[in-house]
Amino acid sequence: MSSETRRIAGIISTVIFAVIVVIGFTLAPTTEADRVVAIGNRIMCPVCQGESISTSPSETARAMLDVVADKVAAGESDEEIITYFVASYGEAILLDPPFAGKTLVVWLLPIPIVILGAWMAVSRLHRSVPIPDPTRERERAGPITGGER
Amino acid sequence: MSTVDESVTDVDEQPRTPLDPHQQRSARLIRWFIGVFFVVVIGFGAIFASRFGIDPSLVQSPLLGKPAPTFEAPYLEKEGVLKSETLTGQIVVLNFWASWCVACRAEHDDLVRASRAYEDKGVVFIGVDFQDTRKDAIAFLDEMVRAYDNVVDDGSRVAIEYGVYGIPETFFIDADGIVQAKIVGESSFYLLSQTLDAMLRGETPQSSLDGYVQSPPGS
Repeated sequence: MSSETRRIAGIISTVIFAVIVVIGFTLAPTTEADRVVAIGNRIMCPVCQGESISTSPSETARAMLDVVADKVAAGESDEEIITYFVASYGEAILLDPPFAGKTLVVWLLPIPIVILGAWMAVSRLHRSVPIPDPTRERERAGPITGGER
Repeated sequence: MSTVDESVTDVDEQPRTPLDPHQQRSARLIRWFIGVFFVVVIGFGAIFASRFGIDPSLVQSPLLGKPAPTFEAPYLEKEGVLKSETLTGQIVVLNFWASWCVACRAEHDDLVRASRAYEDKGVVFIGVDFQDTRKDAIAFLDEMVRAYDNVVDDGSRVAIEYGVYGIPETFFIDADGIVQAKIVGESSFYLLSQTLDAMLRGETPQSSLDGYVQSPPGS
């Protein structure tokens, strides 16, 4: 087995492994407890700094997570539960800024930046493409270097 | 590699031109990039400079102008449960407090004074004891003055319904059960009476949302 084949086999097996892991995670059955944690991950703990109610050990966060659990058990949808917290705390209670209004800019700004970056990278790569033919280069360089090589 | 390439081009084709088109283009690109970079840096600097010093806990109160959440909570010092619906028809001042809260101690005398001053104008004050022990809360009241009923907020349910970020927070609910105003942080007799006077005149009172609130210990 050549080193090239081994390399390709390695890449393929890594990709297959990654695909299996991703599929496994996405197809795994979500329990009510998973949903409570997932919803809690979107809600900021109001008495902490930048921490979700799922991760904060504070009494307020625990109490809010209890409310989430009660509402999940009562059959409310994720969005209904989020809306309930936004109704009393305002949008500041969401860890992710909403994809609307003033905070739309933080979602959309990266897109032109990435495009700009990609364009700059591509234009740099393009610039180094016309590498002169080495033989021709030696011919042309001849008069300067004096043909020592 | 590129040095060789450029020197060759210079010597062979354009001996007098200091920059070939490629170099000109990249110089333009670099200038442009530096320009964009500075604009971005200054922009972010301006955003940060204007936002620093603003406490993220100072948020709008989405409840203003909305129906007050209803609740049932046991009384702190007497038997029975307070059902918030039974207060409809009166102006309700709902004050979230705790024995561990410094500003609550500071504002307590003013709350007592205001509750006495507006007692016969159809205003009822209710204290909501937040994340506290019954023993500490009663000791706090023993030390201070009692003037109105207090309820215990088991599991912080009432505080969550009202979107309390820290205490003290004081909500003003009109006779129709609509939240009309809110005082975030330490209130004063002046703030309380101004708000209540406006409500009694049938006006929409101003809220005071820039006060300091205390987070529970250990959070």
